[in-house]
Amino acid sequence: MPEPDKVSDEVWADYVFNRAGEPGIKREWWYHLSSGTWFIAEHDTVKDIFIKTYLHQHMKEDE
Amino acid sequence: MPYRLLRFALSKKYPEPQMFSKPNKLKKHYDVVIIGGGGHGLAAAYYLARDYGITNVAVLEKNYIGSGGTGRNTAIIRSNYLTAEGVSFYDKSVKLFQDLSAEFNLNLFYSERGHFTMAHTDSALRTMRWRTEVNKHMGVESILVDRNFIKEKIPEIDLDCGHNMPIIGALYHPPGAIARHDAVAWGYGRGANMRGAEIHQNTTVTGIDVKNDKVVGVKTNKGTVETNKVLSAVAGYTPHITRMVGLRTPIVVHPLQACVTEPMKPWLNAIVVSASFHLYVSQSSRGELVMGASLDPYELHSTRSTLDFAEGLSGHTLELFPFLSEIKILRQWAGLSDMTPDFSPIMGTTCVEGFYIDAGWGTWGFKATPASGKTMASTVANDKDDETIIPFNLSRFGQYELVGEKGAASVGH
Repeated sequence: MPEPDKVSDEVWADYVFNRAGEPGIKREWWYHLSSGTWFIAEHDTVKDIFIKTYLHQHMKEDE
Repeated sequence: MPYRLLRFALSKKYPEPQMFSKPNKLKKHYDVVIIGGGGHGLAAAYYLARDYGITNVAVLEKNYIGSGGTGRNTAIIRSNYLTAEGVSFYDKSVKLFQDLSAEFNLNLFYSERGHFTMAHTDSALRTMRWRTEVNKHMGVESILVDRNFIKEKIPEIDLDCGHNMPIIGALYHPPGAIARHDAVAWGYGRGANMRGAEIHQNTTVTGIDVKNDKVVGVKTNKGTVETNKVLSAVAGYTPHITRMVGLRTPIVVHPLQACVTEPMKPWLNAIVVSASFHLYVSQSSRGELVMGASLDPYELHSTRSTLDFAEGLSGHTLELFPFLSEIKILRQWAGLSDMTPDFSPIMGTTCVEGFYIDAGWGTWGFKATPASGKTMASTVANDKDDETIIPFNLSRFGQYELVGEKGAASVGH
């Protein structure tokens, strides 16, 4: 994530708004309502299959 | 059996006129290539030919015309939006729609019904009031109405919604209408085709050639064409195309489901929307209730249908119209909604010279078909954003100048 104070408005806007919109495997944030747990799901957005799920604390920062 | 019908059945050649001419192979060069043979793409081709005399145009459609969003929406036409920019744009579209059947000499079953957006809470009523005032200011007919007015126009409605979330008022928009959505694509297509534009179905674009930030050609599965102007009008498939020219956009694609019930005798004249229940319903000229709800809440590039959509929508519909409990759902389907952060479209020129974009249509694309065609034709012909669509340029995100239409474009908010 770029530092908002250090980059130009355009670079910050690109980080805030623009997305990788093409179909593929996405790492998504999901929230389990009953337990209040946030977790990460690796989701195939074409076949609608979940490949892997893990607690967000276990997500590698540099990925 | 009528003699003419028997003769027709036995004839070897089709004596009836075909709606479109079958084009030959792709030519080597076109003045404009339009990617996407839906309502928007075909409308742009139509106005380019009719208003600018630009007829050396190819519309490339990977499937059959109108197979995308144009054939999958719930066909509601209205202009009761929240922002001045939005209202101005959609009003232009409604006015074009009103004369379209006559212009095409094709019955679009355009039917003005009156459109209700129900308010079930004080904050919703406040938004309806806000929209009414903006609409009136822009010369669009919208009124804030009370429970008695609603009950008079829709006698079958349960205003108390099972005592859970009673309706306290509504935004009533008399010009609200429905139409036969596929016919809009056919009408624009035939009109463009008649004037010289070519429509190539089963033609997939596999790449766009860009040299020195300028468009020079398009690669397809049926050959390569040279061109300096490409218009992308593919809605839910936009990320495939923007990747080809190296453009980044905020678009995220979600499925939007819809369904129809079995036909009934006409009882619902108005179009009914409930933001709190996330549903919209109208009765088509065939007697079916055409119904939709909110987006599926996750990214997915598939037009699959789910049971939870049908269950959820039915449950909420019965809160408004309890007498429908025995009615069956006949058919359900889905389309792809290319969503933007401000629920407004992305239209006009881009930083790639000769690449024009008509996208970000989310759940608000069908009603925009005529205005989108007209303004994009103007933009492509003049290589300059049409005045009406300047606020919708892709560059607005870089300048933080979003046009926030969530209150009027999305059902659930």
